[in-house]
Amino acid sequence: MNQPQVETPRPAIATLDDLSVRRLTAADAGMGLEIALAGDHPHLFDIPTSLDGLRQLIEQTRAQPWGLPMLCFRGERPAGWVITGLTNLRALNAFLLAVFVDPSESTMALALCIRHLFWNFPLHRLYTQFPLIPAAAGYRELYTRAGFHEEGVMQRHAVVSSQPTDVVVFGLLREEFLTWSAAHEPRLGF
Amino acid sequence: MSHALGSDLEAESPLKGHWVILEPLSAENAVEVAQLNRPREMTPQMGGAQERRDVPSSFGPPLVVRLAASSEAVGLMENGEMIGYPGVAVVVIFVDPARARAGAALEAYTMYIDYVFAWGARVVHLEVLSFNREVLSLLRKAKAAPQVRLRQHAFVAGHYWDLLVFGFTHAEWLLQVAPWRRLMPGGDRRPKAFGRNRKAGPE
Repeated sequence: MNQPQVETPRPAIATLDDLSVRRLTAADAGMGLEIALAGDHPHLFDIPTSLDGLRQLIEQTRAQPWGLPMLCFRGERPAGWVITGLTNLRALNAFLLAVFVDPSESTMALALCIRHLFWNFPLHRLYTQFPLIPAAAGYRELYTRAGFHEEGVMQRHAVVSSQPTDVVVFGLLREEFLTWSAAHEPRLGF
Repeated sequence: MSHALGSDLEAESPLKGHWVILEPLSAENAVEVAQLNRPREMTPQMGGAQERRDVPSSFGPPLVVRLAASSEAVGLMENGEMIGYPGVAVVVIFVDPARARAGAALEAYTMYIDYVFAWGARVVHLEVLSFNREVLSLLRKAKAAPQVRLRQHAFVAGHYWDLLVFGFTHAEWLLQVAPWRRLMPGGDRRPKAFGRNRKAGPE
């Protein structure tokens, strides 16, 4: 009798060339804070600017459904961190917050984290948004390079330096990520 | 609060329109409001069964929509401050389409948005499901264009749907609402119809 063919799942990927990703814990808060305070991140993202605040954010994220805070390294150097929030268990979507030392060099690091999220959880969609200040340019390019679609601009939603500021929204569907990975980095497919 | 409307409602006095009365949610009307949940859950435009919400109303308490003619509670209007965006009111409006004509719903909507701005909202943020033709048509007539299309962001009636995001300041709202105010009671124009093949105003 022929045995039915059983598909073998693709394994988790925690390293890709010189990139690696591991779980971000409260013990990493110091490293995370250094990245968070770099450049104009505090204006760009609604992130804590103290050690205690970041520890709290990490713990809160881990306690949420599908909470998987991640810390990325390039070689031995920390390259950035990624968390999700506002998880919607009915629509299977989550807000993605990615903070990188150098967004222009972080496409594959971001893709590695996204892969880990889609690989682990039945997420249908990830989305992100940030105010359109000059520091946003690098992230706008980063998300576009990583396969996200720019879905529009919410006008005057944010207040940055006391000024009403537009907020750009990006979204990525699971199937779009799989198409993107097939075209750009097949090792990330699953 | 910054406006007389807000002050009125702090004293729990209802807002009176021609077709509708908006009154704060309270112990006295809680049972009627609970009964609205069933039609609300069965209305795809409202996204089906409500999920738990953690953000309380920020710009004024929720208001119950009551038809002036029959005193029947037909809807609920509420808001919450958008997480991460101070001053942005995410407005959620439900008016039972089986019991309130479009004219009454429109009047309730305009009164409620006025109210949210009166309570100090900087921007009103509306999310409309992409298949909600009635509301989208109304917004189009007011020359309000969606700012964002959140692709496949909502799971409703067994499918993923896009969610269209509208946002406007008080100044923009006044421009949007001006043509509607002319059509509503007290305005200088008679409506042809609010909604398809319907006479204006509730029965």
